[in-house]
Amino acid sequence: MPFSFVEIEEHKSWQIGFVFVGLVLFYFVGASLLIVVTHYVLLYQARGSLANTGFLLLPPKIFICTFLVALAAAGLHWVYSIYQSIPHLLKIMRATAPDPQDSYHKQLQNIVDEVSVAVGGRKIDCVVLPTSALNAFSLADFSGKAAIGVTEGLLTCLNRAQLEAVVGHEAGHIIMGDTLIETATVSAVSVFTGLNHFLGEALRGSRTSRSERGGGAILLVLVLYLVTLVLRFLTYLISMFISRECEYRADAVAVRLVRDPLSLAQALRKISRGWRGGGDIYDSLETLFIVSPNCNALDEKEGFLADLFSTHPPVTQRLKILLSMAHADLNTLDASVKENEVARPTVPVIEKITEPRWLIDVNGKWEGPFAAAATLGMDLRYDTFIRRDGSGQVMMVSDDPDLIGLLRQRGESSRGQNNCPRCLTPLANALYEGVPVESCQACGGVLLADDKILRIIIRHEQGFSAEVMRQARLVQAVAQKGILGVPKFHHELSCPRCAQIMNRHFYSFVYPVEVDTCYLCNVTWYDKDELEILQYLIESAESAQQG
Amino acid sequence: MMTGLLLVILVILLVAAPIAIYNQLVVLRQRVKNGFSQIDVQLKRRHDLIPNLVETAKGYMAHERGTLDEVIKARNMAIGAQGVAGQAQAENMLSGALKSLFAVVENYPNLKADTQMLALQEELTNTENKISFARQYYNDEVMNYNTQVTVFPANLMAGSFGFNKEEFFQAETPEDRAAPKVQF
Repeated sequence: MPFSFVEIEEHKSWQIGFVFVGLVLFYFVGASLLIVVTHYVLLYQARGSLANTGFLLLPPKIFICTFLVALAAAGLHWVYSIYQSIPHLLKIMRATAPDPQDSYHKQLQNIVDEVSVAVGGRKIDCVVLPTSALNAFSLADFSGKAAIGVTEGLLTCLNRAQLEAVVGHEAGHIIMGDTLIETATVSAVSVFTGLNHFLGEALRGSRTSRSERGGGAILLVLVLYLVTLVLRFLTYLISMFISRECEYRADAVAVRLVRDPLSLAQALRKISRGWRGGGDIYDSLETLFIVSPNCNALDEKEGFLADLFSTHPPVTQRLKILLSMAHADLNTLDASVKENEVARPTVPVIEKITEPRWLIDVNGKWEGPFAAAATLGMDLRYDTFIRRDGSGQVMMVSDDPDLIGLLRQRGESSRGQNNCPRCLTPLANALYEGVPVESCQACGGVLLADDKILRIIIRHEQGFSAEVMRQARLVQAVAQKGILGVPKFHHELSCPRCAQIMNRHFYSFVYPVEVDTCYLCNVTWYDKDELEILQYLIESAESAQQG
Repeated sequence: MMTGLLLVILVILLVAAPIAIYNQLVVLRQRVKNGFSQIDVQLKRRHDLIPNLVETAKGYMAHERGTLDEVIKARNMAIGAQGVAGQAQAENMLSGALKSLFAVVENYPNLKADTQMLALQEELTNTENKISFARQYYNDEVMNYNTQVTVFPANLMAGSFGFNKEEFFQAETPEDRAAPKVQF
């Protein structure tokens, strides 16, 4: 079992050589065809016909030159794409580094570190794909770097043991060297894929304009397009042919590393039932994922054709193998998956508070009771102690929404000091569904950086109270009636960070939850329950779609 | 002429084979040593995390001094342990103390929900898993090495080159064997 990088290289170098030869061939064939076609086009234009011209009348010297140039070009291409492949591919997939303050990301980082210890201490980087799809992938390049990526959706849906099994599977690919081949192939081919798309667009665009001279150029472009198409297809075939066997083997290595076949089976079961996309990626990247992101009816079949045209083996077959190792069957698997699901917490109903008068603590003495207007002359701060008239409970001003409203109206001077825009209590760091946010302990509002809202929408740790659901339905009713034009909002809150006025707007016209955003600091303020309402709306829309 | 050639080939083989075997055994033994020191790295990490854990728990678990003190004592003993067997025993006792601490934590829902405690628990789970993976890797390497040392024809030469079988890392007590892997 090769664990060291040197051994992996030794074992797989013949396959790598094959890809390199293919690359040289492409450049050679492409360049030769270019030359031959240009030659004939020029001849045709000079003589007016192609009669009496022999086939391939060009001297062999030209072909030798072409070959050398092709070799050089392929070499450059190879060096660039292989040594830069990981950052390049990660950028295409829009993968991001894990956020150390986010509890889910931290757990993923920990799991990847554990698996790299199990592999003998080889350093493996970790990335996250910001999509709610369920999938995982691995990348490796010749400089010794390796990376494992997991989607946000998968982080939400799997528990720790299942996540470890999936990471173990990806690590299995890395140490077996499959990832190295596939990353090398994919990045070498990605240039052709890009070129192919570009040529396709050029062809489509040129159909509208035709001319004598244009005819020759179009022919050229067409030839190149076809050549790159064939090359893409061939490399695709090759990588698919090897990749089915690689998946079985990676499953076996995962079990060997993590010693938990049942968790891997559970994870595969969950992934195959959910949306397994990888985000917005080229077709050629699909071999790198644990379950094929592009669903294909052939995937679930066996046989020569299926082996040839689908990148991943049928999930049912993989499950059968894993379950036999775990001494279980499909029924116990489904039961154990259900068992492991954590139910959303139910939130108890909170009763409405009636409008009272207040007794206010002034220098240690209770004064009052005062109505709201009467507090005008007093020095009320967010932490002044008050007592509702008729109740024995002592609380602070910040606990009482009516008094706080008063304070805000009067314009307290402590804006911009990271205080709550509503009730001016200092904001505290907290975790909401694992995401680091700043929340106001007094009025329940949340300050969230704009780049983190996606994680909250994908994760579903939070339970929803009946009140939230009721308000969400009201918001939905507004959305359904349709919003004509841009509504005029009264911007009244100021940003806790920079003290500028925040822009009040609907989160979106489909989800018209009113929020305040500071575009200078890229943070959004959600009042109490607004974040839950938004989450509830989006998630019920998603589950309505899934039926 | 033929016999001369055959003789030369035979001599070359007789010289090359031991060299190849020796080199392979050297590589495998180095891997075993590497695996062993990996375990030490993870153990040290565990030693460093434990005081933090106890401090966080202390605030909530005022009358569980007995359990907390046991954990600190086991940790200090583990740091001071000498020799492979002594170390292994001390580490196992520390694992036992941690298990009983987490069993008690279950009774304190406020402590369980405390975010710092949750983060610490995640770190500890992480460390315990790393320790067991490091041990697993070490055992795998020892298995490879022991196999290579005892197969034919290497076993003829291994003793004289100074390569002997290494010890596996094993569970010390029967109760360790019986207990399943703990998920905190």
